[in-house]
Amino acid sequence: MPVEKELLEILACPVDKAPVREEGDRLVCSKCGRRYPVRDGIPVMLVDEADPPA
Amino acid sequence: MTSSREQFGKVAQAYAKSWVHARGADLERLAALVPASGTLLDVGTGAGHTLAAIASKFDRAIGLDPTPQMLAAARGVLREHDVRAHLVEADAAALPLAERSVDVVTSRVAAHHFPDPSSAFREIARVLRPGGTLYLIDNYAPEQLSLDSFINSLERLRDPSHIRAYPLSQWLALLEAAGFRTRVDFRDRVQLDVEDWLARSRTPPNAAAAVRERLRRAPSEAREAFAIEATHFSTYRAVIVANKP
Repeated sequence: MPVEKELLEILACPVDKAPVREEGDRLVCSKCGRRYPVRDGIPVMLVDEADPPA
Repeated sequence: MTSSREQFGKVAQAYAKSWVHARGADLERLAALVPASGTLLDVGTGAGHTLAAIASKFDRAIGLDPTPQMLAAARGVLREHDVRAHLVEADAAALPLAERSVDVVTSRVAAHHFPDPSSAFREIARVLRPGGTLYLIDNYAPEQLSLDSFINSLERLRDPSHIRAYPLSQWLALLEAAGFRTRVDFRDRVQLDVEDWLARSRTPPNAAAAVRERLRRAPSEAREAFAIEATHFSTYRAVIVANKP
């Protein structure tokens, strides 16, 4: 389930507050590269749940 | 300390059905106060009762909570009310939103679970646009230290994820320190049925017995301040309006 545009446009990385972009089922920080999961359509924007940069 | 994430993972459905959370004079007051456009962020959205009441007034609404089970419950509550809002799993002290991206922030009966309310309020100030408003609704303790201790230790015994319901003067000071201009808009008493209240948090039997015992043996000043009766007592609640200059 993709993240809706009107949400994606204001979502930011909780660490450095930079914009995120959608890559598959992940939201990737445009600055630090942390990868946040999307579970059941809900972005999980928790540092502890993020994967390190690919 | 039990994290609110751990605690609310267990009890999400009980909060989805909680009359105390779904209704209330404070929620009606909030609905009357909030402007009817722009982007809304509800911090500590829990089972989504605040979103269900006000999200339809806004162009865009986002509910944020650190507990996935609560967000699942919120999704159900929103569907029941036919209200559309985005849900995000996140921490109040590290908001995943762009600076100045939100017009209105609400947070209802959640801040007393924040381990670091100062950080949360600074984060809320960051994401609000200048001229934006935070409507903070939460329980508060009496200013008198002995009564403040009585109610907060009782609450922590019942639910270890309770951090602190500050006296009103301290809630305001925390908000002012984060850069807000504050006013208290509304105050109310919330009467709780002791057994419902213990069941909702699934307080273990030993702790529940200790809570009942403390209520039974409460000093007269606490008995009076919290209107403690055999089966009920009352807490204090306020609607605080905090403007970002």
